[in-house]
Amino acid sequence: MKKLVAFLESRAGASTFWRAFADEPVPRRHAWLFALGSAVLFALVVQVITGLALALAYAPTPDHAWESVKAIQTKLPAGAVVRGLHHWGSSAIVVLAALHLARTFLFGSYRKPRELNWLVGVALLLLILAFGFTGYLLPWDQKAYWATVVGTKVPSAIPVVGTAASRVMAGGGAVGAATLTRFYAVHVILLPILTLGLVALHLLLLRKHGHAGPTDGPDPREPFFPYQAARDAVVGLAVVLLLFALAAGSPAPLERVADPSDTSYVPRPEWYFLPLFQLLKFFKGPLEPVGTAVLPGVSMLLLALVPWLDRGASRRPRDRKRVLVAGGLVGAGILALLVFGALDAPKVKPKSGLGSGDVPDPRLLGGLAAYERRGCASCHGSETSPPPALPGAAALPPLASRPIAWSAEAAVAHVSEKSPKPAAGGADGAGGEDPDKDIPSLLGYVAALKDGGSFAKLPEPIRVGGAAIDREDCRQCHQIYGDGGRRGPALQHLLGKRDEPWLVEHFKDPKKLVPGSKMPKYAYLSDAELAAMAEYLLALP
Amino acid sequence: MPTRRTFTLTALAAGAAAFASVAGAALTFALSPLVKRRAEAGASLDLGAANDFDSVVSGAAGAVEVVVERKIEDGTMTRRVRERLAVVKDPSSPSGLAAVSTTCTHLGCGVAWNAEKKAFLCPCHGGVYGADGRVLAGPPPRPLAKAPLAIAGGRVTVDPAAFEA
Repeated sequence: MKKLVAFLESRAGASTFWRAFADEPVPRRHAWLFALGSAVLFALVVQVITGLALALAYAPTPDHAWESVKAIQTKLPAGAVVRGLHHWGSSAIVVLAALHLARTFLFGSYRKPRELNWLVGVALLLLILAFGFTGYLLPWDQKAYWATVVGTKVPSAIPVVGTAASRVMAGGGAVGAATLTRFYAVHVILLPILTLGLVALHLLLLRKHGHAGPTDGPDPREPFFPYQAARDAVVGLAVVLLLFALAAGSPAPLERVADPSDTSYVPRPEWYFLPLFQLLKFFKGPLEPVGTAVLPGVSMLLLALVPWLDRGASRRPRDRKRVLVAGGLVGAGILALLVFGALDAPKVKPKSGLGSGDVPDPRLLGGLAAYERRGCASCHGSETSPPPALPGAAALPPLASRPIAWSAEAAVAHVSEKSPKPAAGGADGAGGEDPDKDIPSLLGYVAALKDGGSFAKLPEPIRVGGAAIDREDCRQCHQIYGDGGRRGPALQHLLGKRDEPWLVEHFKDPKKLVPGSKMPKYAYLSDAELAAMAEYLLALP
Repeated sequence: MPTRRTFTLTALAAGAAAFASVAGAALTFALSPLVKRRAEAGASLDLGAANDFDSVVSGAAGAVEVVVERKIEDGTMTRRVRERLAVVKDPSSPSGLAAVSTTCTHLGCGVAWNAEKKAFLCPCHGGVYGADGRVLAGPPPRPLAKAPLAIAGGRVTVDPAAFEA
């Protein structure tokens, strides 16, 4: 051991380096506040580790990005944890960096000769925000897509250079494949390189000039190791435990896959961009660049110039009252904008793309109803009960895990042969036409089960209503999820425009409410079924 | 014979120029989206059967929204994307109909036709457009993109170039 230490010392100067590192005198007073910078560093390390893991599975193309994130979240071992840590880590870094900045500002630690390190810190703050902005797009869900549509368009209101800046950001005129590859490259290559360099410079400059407490004279000091090192370790542990708790308690969200044709989506930025978002609402028309560029630009410039604006000799807060009040007002203003932005949230909760919160396609619900009606469960079991043992034979494997892939013809023949036909013109209104009309829906339902779909937890009205909509073939004339005929209006965004009584009334006698409507009357369906259909339609995004 | 001094300076300058040209090549690549690509002409977009829009012609509906799928050149790949267009009355179009883009000209959110207010409403910052795409209220700087529709053989088509961003 001693030999190894001697070898490393003579070849690499390791011991000399360690002594210089460990014996650095650091202030004893406010020592916990000085650990805030370390907290940012630890959160950054968490982002590097989890980001690297995510990059192993993520695919940066519009056709696969959402799918790969969904697979990370639902299929990969520890995927939800890794993504949860990365998601919450991004917010934690912003909070911790803001606290670290507030501490530095309060203590006047940016005073001569530490001006350059303040500048490096401001640059790092901008890099953190750039990480957040570019990372937000990558899951390619509705939130990601629409927030980036707005985010990349914001600069275009700036005179002269605006449109060009917007095009370079988006990689063209619209958010698409080029935007995704651009944001991905910036997020995982350019920003990490810059951040690594600036963090190294930040630490080097810190060590060159030492810590600066809120005092003028010499303050009591102690060596970094073991005192501050122990505090840093506690802070690091707290950061990691907090992130684990957040990741476990509130998983990273994933909404439905980005859909440029969905015009009902109200984009929301990540919370730390809410102040900017809110400014956008105050400055309209020709004044817009004031909110999007001038105010944020001037604020950042002022922040960078703080060491030159506050040049007194004393670092004590009581000698810097004017500066502290000014800084406090700006900070309070940013917080107020943040709160107003948060209160301005849309009332409709966005739909999750992860299953239970989603409204499935009516075809799948029709398939589920057919599955129940045809008694498939008596051999194959259902989502909630495993397949029962059959007389004289072992139980079949559950359909969801069945590896056999049948051709469509074989599957149709199997269903038609094995299950009793629904009674023609039966009470459920299945109609007397083709008794096997429901088989395509049934097969679609089984395929969705194999894909990990889950329907057991859906509210009763959604299941009943969706099945009825499939059975009555509303898609002959109406589009649902962009699929169907165009004789009638597309069935979407109904929430807020129509309510349940209106819809039920309209099902019974369309002409009464919409003069000239060619829609047939559905008064022969039960009131309960009509109400369920209305509820289903209102739940559609 | 060059002196050592001129040789050193020349070598340094040449080396710097070499790396600058590498950066220049990369930068050209990165800034290429500044040049707008021309949309391919001729590929007209089918919006549906002519009688799908009878309600617009008769005035019963101010606008009928359709979702169309089309191939676009997107970065390095060709992709199919779904877009939403609205079909409205337009006396200046030979067919009497026009398609209006549902992309708000302010910040790119999707606008939707509101039958009661007879206007396209943007959910983001309150932009309001008339059925003809003109700005009625709110922050949008320009009217919605609009293109005349052609009707041939009972099908309604539009040239998608008008909606290229």
